[in-house]
Amino acid sequence: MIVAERETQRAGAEMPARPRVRVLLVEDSLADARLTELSLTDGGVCQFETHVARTLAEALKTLDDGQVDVVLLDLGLPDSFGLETFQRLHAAAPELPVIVLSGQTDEELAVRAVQEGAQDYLTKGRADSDMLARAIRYAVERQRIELALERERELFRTLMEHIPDSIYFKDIQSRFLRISSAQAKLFGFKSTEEAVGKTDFDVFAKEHAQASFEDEQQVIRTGNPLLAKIEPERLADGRLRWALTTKMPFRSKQGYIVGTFGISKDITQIKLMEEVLESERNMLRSLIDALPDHIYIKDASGRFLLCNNAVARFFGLDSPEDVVGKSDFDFLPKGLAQQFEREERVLLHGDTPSVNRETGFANHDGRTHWVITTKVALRDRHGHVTGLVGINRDISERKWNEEQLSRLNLDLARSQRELLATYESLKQANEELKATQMKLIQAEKLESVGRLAAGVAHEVKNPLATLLMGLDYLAESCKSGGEEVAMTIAQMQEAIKRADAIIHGLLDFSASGQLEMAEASLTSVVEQSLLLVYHDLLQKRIHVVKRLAPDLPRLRIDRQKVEQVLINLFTNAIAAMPLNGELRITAAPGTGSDGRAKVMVSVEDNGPGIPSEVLPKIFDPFFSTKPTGMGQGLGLAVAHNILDMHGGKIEIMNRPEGGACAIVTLYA
Amino acid sequence: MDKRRILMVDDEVGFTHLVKLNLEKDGRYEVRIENHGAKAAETAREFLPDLILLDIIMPDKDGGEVLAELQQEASLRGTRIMFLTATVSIKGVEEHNGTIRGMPFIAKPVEPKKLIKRIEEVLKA
Repeated sequence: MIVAERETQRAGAEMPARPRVRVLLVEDSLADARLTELSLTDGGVCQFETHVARTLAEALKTLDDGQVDVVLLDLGLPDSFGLETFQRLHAAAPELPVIVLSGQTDEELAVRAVQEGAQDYLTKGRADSDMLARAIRYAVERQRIELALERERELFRTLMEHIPDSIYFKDIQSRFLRISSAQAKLFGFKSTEEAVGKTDFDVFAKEHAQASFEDEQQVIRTGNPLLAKIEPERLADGRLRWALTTKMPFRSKQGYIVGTFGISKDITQIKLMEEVLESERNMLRSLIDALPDHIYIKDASGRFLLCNNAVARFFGLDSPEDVVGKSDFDFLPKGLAQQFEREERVLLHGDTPSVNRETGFANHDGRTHWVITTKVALRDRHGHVTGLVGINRDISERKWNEEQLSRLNLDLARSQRELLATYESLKQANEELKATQMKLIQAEKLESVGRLAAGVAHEVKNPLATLLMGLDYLAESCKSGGEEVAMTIAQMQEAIKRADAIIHGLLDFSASGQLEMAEASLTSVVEQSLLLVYHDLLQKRIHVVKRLAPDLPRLRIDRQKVEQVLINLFTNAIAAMPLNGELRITAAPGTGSDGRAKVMVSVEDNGPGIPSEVLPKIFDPFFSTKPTGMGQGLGLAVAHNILDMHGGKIEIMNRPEGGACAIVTLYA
Repeated sequence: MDKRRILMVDDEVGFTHLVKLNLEKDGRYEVRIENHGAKAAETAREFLPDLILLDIIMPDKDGGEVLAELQQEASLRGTRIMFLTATVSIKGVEEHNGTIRGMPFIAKPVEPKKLIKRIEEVLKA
């Protein structure tokens, strides 16, 4: 009772008090009202609080305020009469207990009111104070119990009608006593009553019905519930659904098992989802197992929680299960495991994914293996880092190929360089060969000149000898012939000597082909050569300027031939200069481009120089600029030949300040 | 004083003739000419000269062979031999100390005065 409960709560704070009952007394007779009020003054165990309404309208108004626990109702009121009075009041407050007060004449009416929902009726004048109080208390109590029952029934009905799950009660032989609306709908019944007396065999395929029956009989036998069994249920019409079923023993009030009751939840959707998930999981598992990359999940302490076959193979194990629970330290060299641990610690704390990091390490096969690694922190749903996911790709093959490629490239580059070098040296050799060929051609030219000279010399010299002899005889014989004859003979003799000189030059030229090498000082060679042209120098009053370095290296040379060259150059210089000319002779040491010591001797004159058109032909045999009779045109050719054979060289050029300059270079 | 006997072995007819004229004009020499190398030894044996002027290059027998023949001739032991040839240059002679195969040497062409000077040197040696 609501009021009583309130009272109890209040009593906790103050003092135990009698429950207060608020009574609405609907009575148009003031006298009757007063009488009833008086009889309620002492309520015994209760304390009554009485409010009086004279009409139904007044009563209904009071009820609106809600401050009423029970109504004492007189059916005969000014604004309503008879059963209607009860009906109207009851309709306004259906849960409020009503006690009908009747006169002695209309008891029958009161009984009808009770049938329609009034708690009780009392006959005015017959009920004393105690009776009234007890009637009121019972009415209130009864009403409370009825309401509670009604609420329970309502809850049960709501449950059975609206829960989408199958809920049932069965008797001891597994016959349906009661099923939920959802189950009736599942079975295709029009109402839940249709199921009463039927069994699973009537609605399910035999297989499931049998299984279900056995389960229930076991529950009945053992008293143990069957909890959350996931089972397929095939209905009689062939439909299949998955159910989560719980079966409980159904006990009587006395505790005997009189049947079963249970609930079956349709989890077909969940099951389907599970299957989809399962197949997806299998698919993913197959995928990562098939992938050649290493895929793994580690916890925060570096232990493997999951990995694929590639990881297991990499560690030399048969199955990924053998890897789970272990760490890199169980499989890898310590240094490498430590390196990975450091990287992973950064990842776990720093939250920066490590992407495509290349790591090289020596594997047990002795080769350097390479992996490219991507690691990402793994978070729980609160966002806390709990581990990491990693993917390693073994790129050793690629690396090795790259290394080999770069080695091959280097080889190729080296080969190319060698090829180029070979090409360069071949080119150089070719050029040397060409130069040699040119020299050979030149030498051949000179040699043929030499052979010609040797052959011709004999044939020419004999007639010359005859002529010379003849002229001499004639000169002696014609002493009396006068000045002109003597002069003629002298000129002829001179001509013969000239011809002889040419022959001699040719023979010298042809004889220049062999060298007799000995170590010599170029200073003394220069001095000796100067001595041999002393006469010519004196004749032309040439001033000689010598600058011979004191530290000239000694060279292996054919001294006579080199003297021949220098004499030739001196003679040419003297011939080119006028009287009182200056002959400048310089000798200086030096170093050749190949590092060999060398000596350069330059012979300079202050004559007219050499015409530019003449310079290219200056070393050709028989080329001479001297007036006929003054030179044979062999001097420079012989000089060139001699220096060639020494591996030296001779250059002739014009000096910028006038005159010609010849430079002889000899190497140690 | 007897004239020095000089045999000239040389295929050059004109030359031998003019040398003979020049030498005999000097008055100190009696000159005999042999223009055929092959006959040189025979002529020498018959003439028994003090000096033989020997050419080297001759068509029928060269100076070297003639020299060998002459050196085998006992009757010619005292005979001096000098090459007179156009074969080599003066320079060549110098390089061999003025001798060819141990024999004195003089190159063509030569002036009579120089020839005579050389002849006297050889005869006196």
